[in-house]
Amino acid sequence: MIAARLRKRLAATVSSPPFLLEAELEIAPGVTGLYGPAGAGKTLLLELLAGLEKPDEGRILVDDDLVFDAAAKVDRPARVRGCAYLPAANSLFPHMTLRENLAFGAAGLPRLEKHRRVEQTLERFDLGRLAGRRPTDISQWDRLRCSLARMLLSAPRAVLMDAPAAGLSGSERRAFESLLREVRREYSAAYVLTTRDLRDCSGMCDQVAVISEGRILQTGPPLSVMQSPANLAVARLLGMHNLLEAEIVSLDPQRNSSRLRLGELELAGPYFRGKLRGDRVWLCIAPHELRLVPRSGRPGPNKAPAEIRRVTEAADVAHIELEGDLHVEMPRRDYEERKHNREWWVEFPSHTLRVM
Amino acid sequence: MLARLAIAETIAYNCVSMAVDWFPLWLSLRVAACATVPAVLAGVGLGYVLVVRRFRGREVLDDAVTLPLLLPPSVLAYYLLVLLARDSALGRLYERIAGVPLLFTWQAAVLAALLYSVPLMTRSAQSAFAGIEPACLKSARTLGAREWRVFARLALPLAARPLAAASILVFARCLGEFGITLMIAGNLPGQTQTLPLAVYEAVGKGQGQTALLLALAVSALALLCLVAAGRVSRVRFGLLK
Repeated sequence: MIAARLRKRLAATVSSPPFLLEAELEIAPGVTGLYGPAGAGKTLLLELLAGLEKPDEGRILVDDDLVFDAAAKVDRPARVRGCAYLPAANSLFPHMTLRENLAFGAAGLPRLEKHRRVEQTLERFDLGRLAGRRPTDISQWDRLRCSLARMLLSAPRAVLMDAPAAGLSGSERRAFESLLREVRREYSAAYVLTTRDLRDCSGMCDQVAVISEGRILQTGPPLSVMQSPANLAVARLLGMHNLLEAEIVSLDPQRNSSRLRLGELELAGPYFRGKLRGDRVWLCIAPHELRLVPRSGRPGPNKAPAEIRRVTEAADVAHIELEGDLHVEMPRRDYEERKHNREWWVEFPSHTLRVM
Repeated sequence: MLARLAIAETIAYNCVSMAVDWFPLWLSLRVAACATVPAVLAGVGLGYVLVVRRFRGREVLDDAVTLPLLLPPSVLAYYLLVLLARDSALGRLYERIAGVPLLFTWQAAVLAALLYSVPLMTRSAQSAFAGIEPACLKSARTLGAREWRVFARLALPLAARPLAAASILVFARCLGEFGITLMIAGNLPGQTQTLPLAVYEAVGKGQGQTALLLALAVSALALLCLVAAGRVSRVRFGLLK
């Protein structure tokens, strides 16, 4: 487990503006994903935890072991922190074979034990046939497996990976997900990875920390963060569609209901705890929760006329963009059945309305 | 073509028939060899520290290392004369250890060569180490490796080719050292007269043939070093792809 409170200021350079990282986070055993855009401070945060950069203020505890405390002037070097770091660039040593790379990670062990562990790890990570080859002669997927194996041979307390899945193909990404699931069962450590891809968060992580401009905006299980972003900034970072500004017209806690005004449309919604009548709020509705139905008769509650602007069809879903920047997702089979229809209603089911 | 052949024939004849003193060549080689070894050791060490370590005064050290390249040889030689004079602390210390004064000996020529070769080697080493993928060094440090192990197992082998090429060029630069050598080692034939000084003296005395031969020897050595450095920087070491 890692508990950290950090502050680091980077001066402006020719190629980058000044940057301030102020983060407080707890990383539990399991896999934690640092999700954020480029320049959010993900890599800097990992390097501060690993001991490769020195924070200006704050403290870092790794398994209740104080490895950094600015006030107490404690700053243990990277080699003794037990935080193995996998940079985004290829970090395997190009002049060594894969076997020699692994042996470097196991350097602290007695000779025979080192040999045994290296051979065992080569087999475990399916690298036996590549053991005599150099990193430049193997694929990115093989390099990633070897890097992970080398880190684990050093028996780390935390495994910090900077964008490990970037550049992997779909099948390699799935294989990495499965490898990570196996590895975390076999090697007890806190695993942290950075990513700009939501698929990595949902597929690999138990916890997600959304980071932007040097600050952690929200932490929680991936599904919870994706379904209930804490604020508009998180929702936008998660690439959510259908972020709509509305005004609360009425609230009725007894009936667990509310009414919201969205432009000229009035919507019925659930009761929003902590909100007051007249508050302006942001509604967040997932595209698959909106319903698109053929127009017939008078509009019912929470329905508005809709006009299709663009349709993108994937293997199993159709992504439909409506006038007014609304996005709807429906099963492709349903869309195929109704696609000749010309006039549509878009329906905002009451229970799907969430405010931020 | 015939004219060129005639010149080559004349030079070859003169080489055989003239009694040229080749001591300056051997002294130059000895001075260059003696200066290159410490220059490479110091330059590699300083270059690595300046690239990978961040410490207070790093910029000052960087500037101090580079300064000799910018100062005129006469100024550097003047500082050395003052610092190493027989009545100076350093001069006395050297004389107590070695039993002879340092100035106006061939060892002073080694010191003169070091003044330019250390900054040159440090600069080259900085470029060589800066060219290593930082990710390799970063991940190695988090795998429990001490700094000396990162240096010996990773930085040095990964920068081996540019460092080897730079060492050869530093050797060539030591062969050609003139100004400081003249001022602190003197131009004593058979004692401190290096190849460039011998050329200077031959020209001064109007010994055109001798000057030509010695100049050709210096040029040939410099060319040889240049070719060797080029080959070394391209060669595939066993440990490098």
